[in-house]
Amino acid sequence: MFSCEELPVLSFDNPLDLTTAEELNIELPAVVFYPDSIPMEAGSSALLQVFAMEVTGLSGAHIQINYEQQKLNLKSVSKGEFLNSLIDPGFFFENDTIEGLLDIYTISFGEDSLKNVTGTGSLAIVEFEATAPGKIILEYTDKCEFVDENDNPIEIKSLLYGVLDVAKKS
Amino acid sequence: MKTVRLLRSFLLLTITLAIGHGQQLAILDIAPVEIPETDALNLSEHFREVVSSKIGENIIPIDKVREVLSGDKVNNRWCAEEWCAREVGELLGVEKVIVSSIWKDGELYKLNGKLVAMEDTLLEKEHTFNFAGEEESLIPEVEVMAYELLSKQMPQELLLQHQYIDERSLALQGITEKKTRLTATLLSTAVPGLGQIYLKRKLWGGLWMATQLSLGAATLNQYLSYKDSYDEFYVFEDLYQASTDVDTIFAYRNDMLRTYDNTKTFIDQRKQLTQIIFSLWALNILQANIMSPSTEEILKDISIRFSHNPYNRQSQLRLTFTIE
Repeated sequence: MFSCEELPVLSFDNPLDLTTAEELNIELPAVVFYPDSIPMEAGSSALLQVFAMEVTGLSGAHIQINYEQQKLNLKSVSKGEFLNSLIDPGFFFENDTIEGLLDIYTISFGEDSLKNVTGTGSLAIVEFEATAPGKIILEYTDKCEFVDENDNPIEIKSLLYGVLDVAKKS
Repeated sequence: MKTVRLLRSFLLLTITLAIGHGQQLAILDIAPVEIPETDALNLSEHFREVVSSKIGENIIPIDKVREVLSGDKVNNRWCAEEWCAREVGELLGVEKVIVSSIWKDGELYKLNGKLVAMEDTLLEKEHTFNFAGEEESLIPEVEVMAYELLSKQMPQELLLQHQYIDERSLALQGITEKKTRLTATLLSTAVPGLGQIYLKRKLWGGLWMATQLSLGAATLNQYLSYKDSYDEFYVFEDLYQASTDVDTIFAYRNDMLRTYDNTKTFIDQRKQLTQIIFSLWALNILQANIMSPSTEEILKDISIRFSHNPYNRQSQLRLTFTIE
């Protein structure tokens, strides 16, 4: 009985964990996927959220995701709750299936002016269907940008990738 | 010459008459090996006395046996085997013959007696008893042999004497000490304190048992606490993984660290307790081994036990009434 005693595996791998980010020297603000790693089967779909981490005074964002279009099909894109206010945020996307680029645009609206938010929150939710097995990387490109209510750019210091670990269909 | 022949005829006639009156048992002298012949003769006399007086068997007088056998130049004192008993029995014309021997083999006295029935090819009864002790113990043991060979119930006092000689013999040979030590050690190995209880050191036995039970309970408690902490850790890990709020993530992260530390502490404490339990266990085994009585102590205990037997008390009471 006692020989079965073991310590739990200590792993702080939530991509939104600020302490882990600090330990890994990840500079903030950052754009991350949540979750940042998803095990799945070929033919199935996975939902990932696009998160802005520790951003100050955010009013609008352009996110560009590069994906392996040979192995993934974009199924859906919807807005996140970070830029929500009394008025729904402006939100639209473009999917370039030839290049494997997904562009997401989102902007918050206040009653008289642009609303701005600070902290960490979800900007969008994307759903991909895996068509082939393998480790598929989702990357944010340098085109990603944050702006404040005066349309001034907010520096994004880190762009973190996500992984879809696709196994063969059983 | 004529007188000798007349005497032999008279003797044979006497024996024949004696057999006719139920004297069908002949008891030969005890064959001595490494003990003085005079002692063997005295013991033989005592043996016959017990058989005739206490057990009430009719036996052929030894003088008559000796005379018959001397005619055939046979010394009955050297007859201790079954074949010899049968030959002598045939010469005497009796139904049963008892032959016996006493051999002092080093520290041991070895008694052997055989009851041979002439009509039966099989040995009717054999009694063997080896003991270490004093030569005086041969007197009661010869009595025991008489009762055993003739399948009669021994008097209580003789039975106790026999038990005393037997127990003392085992103690003198060191058998009791070894057996007691081994049993106590094995019992304490199986269950802490049990060996001490076997040695009649109940306080020590209880102490060891209580200590080991308490430590065992504490160990089990540590293990259960470990299990709780371990499970709790993974509950918090699931919550941590599922959370998207940075403050909540931070809180669950701290909960994970706390339960991880608790788990580690419980394992360490359990290991320490287990080490203590095993150390005490070994100590308890060692104590049971050391605590086992020496041969001198065992002999003293035997003397005390047999000096307080119920039979003796009964005698003392009778004596008291007589004086009054």
